[in-house]
Amino acid sequence: MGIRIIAEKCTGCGACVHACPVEAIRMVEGKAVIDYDLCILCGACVEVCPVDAIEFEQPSKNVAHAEAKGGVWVFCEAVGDKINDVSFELIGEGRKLADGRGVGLTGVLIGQNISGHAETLIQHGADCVRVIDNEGCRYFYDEVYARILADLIEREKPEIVLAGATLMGRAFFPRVAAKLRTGLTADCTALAIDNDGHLVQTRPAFGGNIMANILCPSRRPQMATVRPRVMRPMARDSARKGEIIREDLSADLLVSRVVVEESVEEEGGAGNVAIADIIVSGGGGLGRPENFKLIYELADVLEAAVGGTRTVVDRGWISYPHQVGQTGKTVCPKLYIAVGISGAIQHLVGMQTAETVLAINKDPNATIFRVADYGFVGDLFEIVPKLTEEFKKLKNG
Amino acid sequence: MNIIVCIKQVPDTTDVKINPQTNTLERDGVRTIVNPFDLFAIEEALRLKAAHGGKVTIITMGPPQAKCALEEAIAMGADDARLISDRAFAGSDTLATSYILSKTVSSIGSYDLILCGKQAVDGDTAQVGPEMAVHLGIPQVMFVRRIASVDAKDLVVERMTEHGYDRVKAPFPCLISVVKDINTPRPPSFQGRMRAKRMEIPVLSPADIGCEEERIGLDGSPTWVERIFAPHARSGCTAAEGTTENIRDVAEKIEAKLEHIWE
Amino acid sequence: MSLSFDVIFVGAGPASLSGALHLKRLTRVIPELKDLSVAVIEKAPNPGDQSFSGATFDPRALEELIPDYLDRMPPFGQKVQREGLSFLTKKHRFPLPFTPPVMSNKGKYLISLSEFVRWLGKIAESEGVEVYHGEAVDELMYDDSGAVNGIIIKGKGLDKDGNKKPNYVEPTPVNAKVVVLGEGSRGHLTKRLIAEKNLDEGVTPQGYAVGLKELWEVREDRFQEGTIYNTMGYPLQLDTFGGSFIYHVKDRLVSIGLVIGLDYCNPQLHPFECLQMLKKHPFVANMLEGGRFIAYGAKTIVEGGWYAMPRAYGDGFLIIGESGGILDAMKLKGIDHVMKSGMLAAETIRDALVAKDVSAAQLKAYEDKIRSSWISRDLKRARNFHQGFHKGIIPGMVHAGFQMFTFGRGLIDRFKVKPDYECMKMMCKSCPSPCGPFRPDGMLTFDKLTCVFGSGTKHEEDQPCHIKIDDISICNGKCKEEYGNPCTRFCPANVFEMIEEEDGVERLHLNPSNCLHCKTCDIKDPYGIVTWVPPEGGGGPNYKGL
Repeated sequence: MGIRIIAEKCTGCGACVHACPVEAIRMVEGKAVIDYDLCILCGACVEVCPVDAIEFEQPSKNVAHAEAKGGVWVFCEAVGDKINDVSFELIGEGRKLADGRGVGLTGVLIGQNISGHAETLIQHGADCVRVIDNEGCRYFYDEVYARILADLIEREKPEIVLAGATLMGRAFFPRVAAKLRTGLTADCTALAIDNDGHLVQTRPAFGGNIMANILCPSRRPQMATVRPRVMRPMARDSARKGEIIREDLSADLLVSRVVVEESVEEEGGAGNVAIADIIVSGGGGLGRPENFKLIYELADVLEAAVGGTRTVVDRGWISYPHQVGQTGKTVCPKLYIAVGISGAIQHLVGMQTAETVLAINKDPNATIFRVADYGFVGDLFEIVPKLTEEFKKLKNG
Repeated sequence: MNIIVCIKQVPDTTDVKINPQTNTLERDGVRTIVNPFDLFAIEEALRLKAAHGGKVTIITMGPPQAKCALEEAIAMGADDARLISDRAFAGSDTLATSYILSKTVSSIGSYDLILCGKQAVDGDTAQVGPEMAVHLGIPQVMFVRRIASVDAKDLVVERMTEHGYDRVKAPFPCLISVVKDINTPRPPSFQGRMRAKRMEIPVLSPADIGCEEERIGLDGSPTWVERIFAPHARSGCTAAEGTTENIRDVAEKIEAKLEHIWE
Repeated sequence: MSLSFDVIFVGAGPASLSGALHLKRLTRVIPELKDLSVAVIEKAPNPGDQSFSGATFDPRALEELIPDYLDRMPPFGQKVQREGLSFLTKKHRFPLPFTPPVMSNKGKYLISLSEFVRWLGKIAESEGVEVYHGEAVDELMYDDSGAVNGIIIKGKGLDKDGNKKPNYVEPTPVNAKVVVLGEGSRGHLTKRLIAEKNLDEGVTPQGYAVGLKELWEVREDRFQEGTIYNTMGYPLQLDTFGGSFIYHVKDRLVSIGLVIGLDYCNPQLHPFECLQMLKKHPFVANMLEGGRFIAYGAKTIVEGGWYAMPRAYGDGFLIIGESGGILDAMKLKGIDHVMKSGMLAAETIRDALVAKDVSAAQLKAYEDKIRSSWISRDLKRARNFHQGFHKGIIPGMVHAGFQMFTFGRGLIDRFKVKPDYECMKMMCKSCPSPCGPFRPDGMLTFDKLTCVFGSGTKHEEDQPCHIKIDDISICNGKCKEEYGNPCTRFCPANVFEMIEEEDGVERLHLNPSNCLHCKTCDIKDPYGIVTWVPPEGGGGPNYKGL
């Protein structure tokens, strides 16, 4: 088992050499050769070989589907007595997966004073909600939550378990996976069921520069944490009915060696460019520092963070934490609006994985348009205010 | 205080080039570096050692050149290091990796604290730390932004939450993952580099750490990569005129894509 | 703890690595020297990251150093099988019917210097040389008698304004019995040492050229493995020394480069744009059509030759390689020469250590060895080559012709030469470069920032600017008028920019993190007010395959 190059098929094109992230392949006399001391068996080379000259043998995909009869589960995160929006997003996605597999969808709710949310989860698409409402779960304790969930999973045997890739989800879900000795994929941006009924988990890697499809074919459950604000919740259906099960817990499940002494709320780091969903960015085309006002106004309406190119940061028009680009931050927002930015490659490398890019520049040949989905050529001093107006209307209307 | 820090050598993901002709990403020629989050973990360990005495041991699993990552950590001031490297480990996912690292930790002996960086910038999973904690049977605190105090039996830390932070006490031994900007990592000193170069770093094989074969490498990895692909290639656009109709049109299209954010 | 080595080589290029490796081997068999501590200190973060050249390589020094080198899989391309020298006009190419034997590179290997240095460095380390990366050497140390007795490694962790950041690391003094400077062209320590010790007394002012190069992967049907081309003429004017080289190396990789003498006089000359325009010439454009741009880089090349070589020895120090002015300007080659110079330095140091005497009198033997080796034979033959072109291409070709038949003596033996920075004419007396106006097309030609990105250069952003300008008011005043701020053109990395500030006046603005460490600015600024020193160790270009 492993990876090998079929020398007879290899044409020496070198595509695999470029694709290998650890430089484990080199050309020897016109044929690709893998250095197995370096190879990390990621399979990137297999993907790019134009003549299928690379064989990647993986363990067979046999699996005891039959044993995992518990359906699709979603861990519904509660903080204090409030439920996190990601739970609804996951129920929405979980619904699709459950329907695809022809099984039921169960939400798992752990916390204190959170039972009231069970109804809402069912109205958003769950068939069943298992509630663990206990004083011992008032604070998030990694060990406790992990123990409880692992215990439930071992008993009920779901085939898929999802959680939000939040601070909580990413902290304790791996503990569950390790206890169950099963596979976990982090921070997925897409989920699907393949022809064999396996969960295909899609996630970014390498800083968002590549995407990977991950499978967990031979173990159950298949576990995944899912990036918040990517999946869509279903519309609420107040007539929808389902089962609510209150789980009793034995005391030993609630033991935590870690103690929360205090929980402190702080003012949000609003406008942090690195994690913002929407960014409005200004470049040298603004001309003068005062003109950043246009950017702030648009950002305000869109509830966006404000970014800037190296040029404007160097000139002091905006501070360094807002810089987007090779020597600033790399961002991956849902929407990036580039105003008066030419698109120097050092800037592009910091934002070109954004989902949607809108660019405004007076030069129709500006490189930024090569990576933009929408673009306006013209005077930004006219276009940006109009854009701000339109978005204001849409949001209020 | 005996501290073990787990680090990883990774490709420098900010070093990725874009081909100017095609706007596609190119990964060849990328430098390898110590995972940036791990530098914060190493620095935190060194500060704890400076304040409380003890020893800092760095471990990493990787191909032979991962030795350079260990040398850099030693050059920063770590006392000892282990390289876990063997072909049998190749193809390990996070479960297998965490198992291998936890066996390594057990082989080292007693420890008070295991420190990890939040996540590796190539895999971005942040899973290996917590999975190690389970294999070792120790508690954990993740996403720690400050170590507030340490005494003989436990430490108090601030861990990040969605709305601020929790003040948390954890007993030794435990595992902590630290976030960016918990400190400012020191660069390696030249003196440190000399020490690192002259140090013999043991290279550990599966037999050395007592691994069960079926739990390492591809065999021990429940997840595997079915496919790697580039994210949607950007085709660019032809810029339109900034008329009111065009602007309205685009604004509507964008609003439709994003409305769920504003709900 | 005081840090020390027996011998320190500054700069991990081919000269230092060869010297250090040779020294370890020579001393291994001498009982009192068998554990000699030899260190090579390099500012680049990884081996070979900042080594850069064309290159055609004559393995004669390598054969002496590592006789079984072929068994060790050196990263060489093919040997040169075909070569052609030609003259270009904007649209046409006129090949010369033959290549003069003394300029011929047939039979030599085509290599990437960065890959070669990586390979050589591994061998050196395996034999006990300690190669340290990511550390810049700031200064030399002297004892009370003025002998060099060590180096000071640059500290890290100062912010842009020179204040200490929380992770500040002090400069580190490291002692050595002998310090060998192998910094490459226009080494900054060498420059200061030459001035302090008057090492250039009686020699011609040193001259340089700047070399810029792109690496492309071309289509299979355009690749001519083992073929090299050299051209003169377009895009350079007849008064400018220089020309291009195009090397088809291996794996469809082609190096296209332009070398321009820094004794050029037109302040409007823009070396980077000239390289871009070269690619548009039908001969080159055809080669690159459908190809993929991979990387870019630039460095200066020492060209003064035999008569400009400074004294390369002193109390406690030696200067090797390009730092010592060693390069065959006629063949545009030097890797074998600099390697040999490193080896001769090693022999000199071994004898000095045995004699327990590292004074100038003892180390002078290095110069004697250079003079009686094939290095000096080659350099003497080329001693008037570049200088012959100082009145233009046509006179230069005439001089070169005569030099070929007189072992370098030519019509004038030892030209009178001005330093490069004094050669620039004023704007009012110059004419626009034939290259302009230039607009990159993004497929064959690119803008400077895009190419800088392709060099992989990176620096810690928050550190003091490493390019010192004595009096910036000259840049914003006199120079603007007299020379039109030529730094904005001769810098291959967009470090220097004139930016219109809020009061509507254009002023000089520096982008030091774009720097490729070529030192053209240190050489060519017409007022001699720019000084290049290394930034914090670990920063700079990332040359792979260049």
